Order: sequence, then C-alpha cells, then structure tokens
Amino acid sequence: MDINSIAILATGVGVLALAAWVFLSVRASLVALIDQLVRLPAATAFFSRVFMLCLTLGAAEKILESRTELGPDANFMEGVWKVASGVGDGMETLLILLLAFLGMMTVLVAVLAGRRD
Amino acid sequence: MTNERYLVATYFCAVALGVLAASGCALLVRRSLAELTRVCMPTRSGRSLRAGVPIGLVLSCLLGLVSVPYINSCSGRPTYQEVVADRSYLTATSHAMVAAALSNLIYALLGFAMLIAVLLAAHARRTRRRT
Repeated sequence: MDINSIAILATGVGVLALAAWVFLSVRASLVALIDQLVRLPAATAFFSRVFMLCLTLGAAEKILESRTELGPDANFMEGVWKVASGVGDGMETLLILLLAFLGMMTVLVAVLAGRRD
Repeated sequence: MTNERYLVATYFCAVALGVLAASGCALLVRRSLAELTRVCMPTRSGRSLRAGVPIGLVLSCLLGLVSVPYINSCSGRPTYQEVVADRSYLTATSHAMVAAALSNLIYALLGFAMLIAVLLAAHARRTRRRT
C-alpha cells in the first residue's frame, strides 16, 4: 500500500469518525427537542434521518474531493499534513451542515414555541 | 483496459453511484415523509409533495453529475484526445462528478427539510386555531 492510499484511507476514517461523533452527540437532544415541539413521531424520524444523511453525504463528498499526490519518497509528516488538510476540509463541511440544521431547528422552535405560549 | 474504455466505465459508474445515493436517500426518508404529509397535508398537494421529493433528489443528483465538464480549456485539456490521454485526470474528474452529485443531494435534502419545517409550522397554526 503506497503512502497516497494510506493518506486517503486515514482521511476517510477521520472524516467519517467526526461525522459519527457529531451525529451521536447531537441526536438525543435533537430527537427530544423535535418530540417536544411537534409531537409527531414521523417528524422526529424525518429530521433525524435527514440530519444523518446530510452528515454522511458531506463526509463522503469531502473524502472524494481529497486528493493526494505524494511521491514515493515523501516523508511521513507530509502524509500527516495531507491527512490533516483533508480532515480540516471535512470539519468545515460538517460545521456548515451543523449550523444549517441548528438554524433550521431554531426557526422551528421560534415559530412553534411562540405559538404554544 | 484502454483509457477510452476506462472513461466510459468511470463515467457510467459515477452516474450509477449518484443515482443510487439519491434513491437510497429517498428510500430512507420515504416512510416518515409519507406519514408527515398524511398528517399535515391530507390533500392532493401532499401526495404531489410525496412524489416530488424522490424526483427532486434524483434530479438534483443528476444535475451535479452533468455539471462537471471533462473538456475544459481552463485546465489545459480543450480536446477529447487530451482528456483521454491522462488517466489520472479521468479518475479525478469522475471523483469530482460524484462529489458534485453528493453536494447537490445535501442541498436538496436541506431544502426539502426546510419545506417540511414550514409545513409543520403551518399545521401547528391550523391546529391551534381549531382548539
């Protein structure tokens, strides 16, 4: 296995692990929030699935976009920098997706909680 | 395998992968979306929304796939022969095609989720008026 394949594999594992971590950290509170707001199990399932899909697709997109063209005599740290750069791009995408989703949930809370009061 | 065959194989693999991803997403949200539209929108427009989501997802994915050009004068490959000559360019472009398809799929999913959020808000307003 050459250094480029190892770098792409490490980037993929890193970005997917980050996506899983973000999803697992937010999921429980997101489900509770939607349950409390809407009281429709279908809405909870729909939003949590869309959130999971967006994170997974965002991670897959960044893995596909990450390209490494290191030579066979590349140093170990050059590979590490490539992986860090790929994981950084993935983090950026996950952060944007998280913010977009939280923004949507905030609007939903503002509209529905305001009506309930 | 010649580069020309490799181009055909990677192109159609990318298209199949994109359409598969869109169909998988549509399948995953299908049941909850059907239930949601049945509760919030029990009219014909609810049925059209239910049918429109999978079509929208597949179309957005296809749009992403076809938006990546192979023949590109900016990247120094203005002719078909120059495109086919470089196998690494073919691989990179097919990766870019799938990445663009996934990116469009995310936008479409977020757009539909926003639409559903608006629908839920309208439904909550209606039920509040009734009570």
